[in-house]
Amino acid sequence: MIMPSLESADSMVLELRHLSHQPRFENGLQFQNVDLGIRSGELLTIQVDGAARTRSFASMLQGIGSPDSGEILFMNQDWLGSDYPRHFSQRSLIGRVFDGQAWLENLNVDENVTLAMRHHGRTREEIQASIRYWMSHLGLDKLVSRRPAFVAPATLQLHQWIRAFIGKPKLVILERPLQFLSEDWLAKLLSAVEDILNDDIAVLWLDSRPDLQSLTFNGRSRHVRLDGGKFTMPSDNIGGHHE
Amino acid sequence: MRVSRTRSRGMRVLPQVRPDRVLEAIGHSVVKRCVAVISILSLLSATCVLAFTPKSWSEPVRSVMSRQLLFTGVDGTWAAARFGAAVGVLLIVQAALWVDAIGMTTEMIAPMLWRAIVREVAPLLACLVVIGRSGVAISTELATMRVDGQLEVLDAQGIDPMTSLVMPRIVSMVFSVFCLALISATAMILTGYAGGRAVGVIRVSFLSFLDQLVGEIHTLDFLFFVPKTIVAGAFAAAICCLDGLSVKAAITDVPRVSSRAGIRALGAVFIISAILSILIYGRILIFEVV
Repeated sequence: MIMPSLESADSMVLELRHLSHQPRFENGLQFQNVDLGIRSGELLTIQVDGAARTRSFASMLQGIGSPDSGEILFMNQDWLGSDYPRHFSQRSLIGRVFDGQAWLENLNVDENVTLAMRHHGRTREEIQASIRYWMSHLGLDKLVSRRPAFVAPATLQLHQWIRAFIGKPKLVILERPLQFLSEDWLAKLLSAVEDILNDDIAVLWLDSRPDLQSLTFNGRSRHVRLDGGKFTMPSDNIGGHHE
Repeated sequence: MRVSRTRSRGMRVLPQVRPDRVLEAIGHSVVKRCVAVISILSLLSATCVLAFTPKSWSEPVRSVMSRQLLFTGVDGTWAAARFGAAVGVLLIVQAALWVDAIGMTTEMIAPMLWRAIVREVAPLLACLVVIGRSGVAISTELATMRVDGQLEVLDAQGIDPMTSLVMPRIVSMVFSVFCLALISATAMILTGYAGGRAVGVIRVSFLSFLDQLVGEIHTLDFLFFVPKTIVAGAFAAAICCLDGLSVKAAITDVPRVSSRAGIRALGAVFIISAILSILIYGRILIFEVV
C-alpha cells in the first residue's frame, strides 16, 4: 500500500482502497487492486503515459462515476449512497485543473472562475481577495471577461489554475497543468504548489512529464508511476532532490 | 417485432404477424410511455422541492433564472402578441361565417370568442411560442453541455446541474407560458374586436363588447386557464430538459434529440389540454362524461 510514511487517519484527505477499474474509453487509466493515500499538505504525483486520458479517473476521485470495485474516501467519507447534498458539498472542497473541456461556454471566463465560490455562498469580498492574491502570485493583471471560445488556450489554462487554487480547498487535482503553456510557467506553478502545500492543502498531480519525480518540496512530496494498472515507485525517486 | 413471410398461391408474399408478438410490442410501448411519464413527474417533483428550498437560490442560480425569463418570457412577448393578433382575426372570420351560415346573432360572438380564447387557444398558443423559441433551445443547450463535458465540470465543482441548470429553466418556462398566454389572449380579444367591427359582425362599442366578455367570465375559466398554462408549460419544459440530458456521447445526436424534444413537448401539450378539458368541463366535445 502506498501511503505517507507518517500515517495519520485524521489528516488523510484522499484514500483509495483496493481500487480496480477498467476504462470505458481508449487510453483511459486502468487500475488493478491499488491502494493510495494523500494527506493534507502533501503533494502526490502520478506519472502516466503520454497518451493517457486522466479525466475519468480524476472525476472518479470526485465521486463522478464509480470504480468497478474498491473504495474512494475523501475526508474519510465515501461517495456512495444518495446523500447528494453531502457529495456536492464535499466536491466543493476540491479544486481541479481539468484535462479537456473545463468551461461553461455560455458564461464568461471570469464568471466561470468565480462560479463555484458564488454558488457555495462565499462573500464577494472573500472571492475578490482570493482572486487578487493568486493573480498577483502568478503575475496576471485581471481576469478575462470574454467567452472561453474567444480566449487563447494558454490564458484559459492560467485561469484554470486560479479557479483550482481559490477558496482554500482541501485537495487540488492538477491534470496536466502545464499543457498549452511554455516551460517558463513551471517555476510559477511550483511556487504556487508550495504555497498551497503550506496552507495544508493536499495536491494530486497527474501528468506524463518525466521530471515529476524530481519535485520534493522539503520531503512533502511522493511520486508514483502507473504501470499496467499498478502503482510503482520510481527507483530514482527515493532521495531525489529538486526545488 | 418478428414477421414471417409465407407464399400465398405462389403469387403474393404476405407478412404473417404473430398475435403474441403484437401484444409484446404493444406492452413494450405502453411500459416505455409509463416510464417516460414517471420520469417527467419525478423531474417536476424534484423541481418543486428545489424551487421551494431557499438554499437552492444561490446567486448563479438566480442569474440563470433571470436570463431564462428574459429569453423565454420577455423576448417572447412580441411573438406571442403577434400570433395572438393573427389568431384573433382568424377566429372572428370564422365567427362571421357562422353568422351567415346558421343565423347566429352578433351577441353570441363575444361569449364564443371568450370561451375559445381563454379555455383553449391562448394557453396552446403560449405553449407553442415557448416550445418553439425556448424549449428546443434548452434541449440543444443541455445536450451540448452533456456531450461536451460541461455538466461534468459543474458537477466537479460541487454544483448540482439539477439545481443550477434544470430547475431555473423549468420554473421560468412555466412563468413564461402563463404570462404569454395572458398576452396572447389580450391580443386576440383586441384584434377579434377590431376585425369584427371591420367586417360588420360586431356592431357594439368596445366597452359594451368588454362588458359582454366580463359577463361571460366563469369560475371554471380561471380554474382551467391557470392549471392548463402551468401544467402544460411544466410538462413541456420537463420533456425538453429530459430529452436534452438523455443524449449519449456523440455531438451528432444533439440535433436529432432537440427536434424530438420539440415534437414530444408539443404532443404532450395537446394531450394535457385535452385531458384537462375532460377533467374540468366533464365533456369530450359535445358528449358529457359520466
